[in-house]
Amino acid sequence: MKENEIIEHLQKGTKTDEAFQALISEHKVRLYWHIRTIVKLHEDTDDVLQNTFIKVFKNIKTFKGDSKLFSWMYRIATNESITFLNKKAKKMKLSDQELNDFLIDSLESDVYFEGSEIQLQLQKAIDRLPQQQKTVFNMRYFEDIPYEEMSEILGSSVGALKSNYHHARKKVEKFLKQD
Amino acid sequence: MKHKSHINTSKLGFKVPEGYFDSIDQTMACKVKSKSENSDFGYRVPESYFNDFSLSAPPKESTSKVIKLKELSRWVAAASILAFAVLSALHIDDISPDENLQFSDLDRDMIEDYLDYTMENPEEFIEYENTSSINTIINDNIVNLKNNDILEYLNDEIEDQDFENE
Repeated sequence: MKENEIIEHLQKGTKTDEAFQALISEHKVRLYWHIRTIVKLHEDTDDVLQNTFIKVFKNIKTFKGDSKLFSWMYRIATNESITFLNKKAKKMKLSDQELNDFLIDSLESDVYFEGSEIQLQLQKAIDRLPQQQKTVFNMRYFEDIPYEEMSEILGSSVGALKSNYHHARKKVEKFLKQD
Repeated sequence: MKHKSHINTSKLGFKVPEGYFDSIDQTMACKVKSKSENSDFGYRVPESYFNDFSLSAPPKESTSKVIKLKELSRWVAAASILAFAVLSALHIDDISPDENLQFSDLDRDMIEDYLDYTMENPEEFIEYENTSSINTIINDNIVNLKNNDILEYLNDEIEDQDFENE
């Protein structure tokens, strides 16, 4: 099933099960990894991925096709991930930074993390970045998303995104050299 | 039209449970569909609950007047005073001396006892032991009286007696 067919079926309410299953099958992996770079833990990622698809399913009728469907879903996934972390911090009575530190520390004992010491240090360095720089760095460095697509997803100019990435990279390098 | 995943998982160091992506298509679709169809609260209602829902107004209860405790205590106090007054009026005759009592009604023994007692204890019935002082007081008052006052007093007395005689 093609993307425009999926959208049409979901918006008209015809063959919704089939169309929705096709949508999940198509985008699950990329959305999963995008969410995982933000929330870090697999169980949390699974929850956020589910919430993202719920939002997509509920709001598909409002999708006008001004941007690519994937960009639209990516934006929902980013917002859902940040909202999830804010709620988690509030629930655990931690500040945003304390929660990030807690998540990085959790990685060391996480069975779904098999990174080296360098990779763990890289996560700690990313953890110190402001939210926007963190998102841009993850999307560029790990997901290799072109700036044009990133601009569509995040709603920022290509120039601003390039600047964000440049500053983020400098900070990460500085952190790794210090450590 | 499948989007190619650009993610470089080897850079991340993260991994997923084995077969995770293979199994999530069906399970995720079912979960999302059931969650999005239910209310946001997660509560469900019995089938056709709202169609059969009806509510009849409860029967009007008879309203009773509410009396404040302070007001009630005032009423109790007023009633107590009134009751005391009525009871006092009923028993007043027992307390006041009987005006119709005649000397002949008195028991002879009682009179004798009374006289014996007063004779034996005369000091209890004499207000002033020294009678000379009483006389002094009387004389002083008389000296101070003017003749006109005495005459006026006597005239009044005579007039009253005449009136009574008539």
